[in-house]
Amino acid sequence: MTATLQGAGEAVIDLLIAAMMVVVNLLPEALAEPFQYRFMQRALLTSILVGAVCGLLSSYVILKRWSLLGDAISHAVLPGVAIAYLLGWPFFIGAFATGALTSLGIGVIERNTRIKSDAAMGLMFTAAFALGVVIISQIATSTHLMHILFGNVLGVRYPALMLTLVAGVLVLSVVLLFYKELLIYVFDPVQARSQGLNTSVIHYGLILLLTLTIVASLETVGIILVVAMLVTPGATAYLLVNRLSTMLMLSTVIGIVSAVLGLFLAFQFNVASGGAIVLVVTGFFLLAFLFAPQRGVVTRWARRNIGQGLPKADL
Amino acid sequence: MEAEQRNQAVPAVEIADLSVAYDSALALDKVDLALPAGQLIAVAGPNGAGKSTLLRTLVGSLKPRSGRVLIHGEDAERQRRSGQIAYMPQHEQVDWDFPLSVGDVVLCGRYGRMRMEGGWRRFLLPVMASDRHRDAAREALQAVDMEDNIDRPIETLSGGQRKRVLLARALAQDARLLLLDEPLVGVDRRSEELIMRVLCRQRDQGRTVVMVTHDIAGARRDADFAVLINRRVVGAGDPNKLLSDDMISRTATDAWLSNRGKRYSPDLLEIA
Repeated sequence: MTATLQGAGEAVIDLLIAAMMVVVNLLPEALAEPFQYRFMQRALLTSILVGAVCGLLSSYVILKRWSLLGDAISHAVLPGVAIAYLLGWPFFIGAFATGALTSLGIGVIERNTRIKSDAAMGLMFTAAFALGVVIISQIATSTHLMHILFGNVLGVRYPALMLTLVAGVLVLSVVLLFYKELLIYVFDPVQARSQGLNTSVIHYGLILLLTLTIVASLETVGIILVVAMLVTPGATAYLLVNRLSTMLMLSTVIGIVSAVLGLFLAFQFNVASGGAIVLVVTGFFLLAFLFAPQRGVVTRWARRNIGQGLPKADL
Repeated sequence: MEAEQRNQAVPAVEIADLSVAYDSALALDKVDLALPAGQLIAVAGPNGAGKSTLLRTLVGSLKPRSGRVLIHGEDAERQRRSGQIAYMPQHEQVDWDFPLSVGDVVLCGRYGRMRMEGGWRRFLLPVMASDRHRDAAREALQAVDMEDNIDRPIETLSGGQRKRVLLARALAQDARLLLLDEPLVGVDRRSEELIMRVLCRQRDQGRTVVMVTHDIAGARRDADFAVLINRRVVGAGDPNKLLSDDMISRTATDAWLSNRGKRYSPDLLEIA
């Protein structure tokens, strides 16, 4: 049963890779050349998926002001990975469990004490992270730790790729099917309640999606850098557009393009893939920060000082 | 016809022994209150009296410590699920940098009804919403004189326009009960008159309109029923009798006495 499922999963992945390679082979040879290797094909598919899922969710993270929560969950995943390794379980089960537990713990501290959410997060995620570091220092090599912390997309295998694919499909379908519920919850949770929506379910549902995405991105960009993928694409899109639907699409595209470009640069210059991906996405943010049509720093300066005749932004 | 009369007889809101607390501080203390259906109702009281708390409890975003709430004689949550309670927040409560257009925000008032549609239609994206919902949103925008701004990003709106958009979102819902938190604060004279006209028309169509207000003179002029609260119900009834200068200043003084030692701004005293 599991064997057939696994076989089917690998068949789906092979099919996706084949479809992807049709496009890649249309590119100039210098660009397409690295992707003739099997491991680069797997890395490319993983990067596209991780870039898309993180990019999509990053818009919600930005609008809900959950950057720190993303940071907290991503760190809290580490002890789960270590414990799963000890027990011989698939790493994502442990990672998901401790990630979700920590976000619940943050809520418990917040509700039952006078401590505010930022301190509750800072407290919980560093504790979880410390536990992870202590366990791992006993059981694994430092290379292994480095891979969890910073990712190693070039070494991605089928199970991890499968997990990323499942997470991607799940997140995309939830965002499409419950677009209305998510929008209204993030924009005005009180009004969401007045229409009888269960905001607790939406709240924890969104946290679970976030945790799943972080776990699925673990091997690509790693625990530390996944936060960048959950914040920067959304922040960049936020500077460029005025509609939620376009923001979601744009942040997804920025996530994908950054991941693919970062992977390519990592291969070309033989540098860490996670770092390269994050540097690329930060580059996109800087461009938007400076040159966004309405909100860019340089654009606004130019409008004030040069384009006196240009119409003012309608504010 | 008979059914309608019976409906009018059932109060829009019935509250019994309601207490709501933030941490340890009681915001509402054993409130008993019945709000008549089909009327324009003004809720007044000093700052910190629990006016917004009362609305948020009716909306379901605050859990009461004790007590019971019936809306239209039915469990409040069932009334919410069937879309009968519309809510308009104070405009500071909403993030106006949010990437939405005026039309998007007003369409939010229809989401509850869209979710009630059968089968897969329940999951449709708002852009695919049926004409019924788009028309309701457009009519609501027309009612508040904002239909020309339907595609404008909400961050570019003025204070009065923001109020009107939030009001339009509540109108679009086509609910029997409208709960409005200070709909007149921070708007110019023209917007204020427009909003009051819209609210009176809603009342004339048989809906119940409950508004938190600091505008005592306006409440005396337009409201059919008034509630004066200060953590407890101080009085409820005819606005002209209840909202006398004497009563207001007594409430404000009570509030001042019970808040002594805390910072307190007696804005009601200034109005009265």
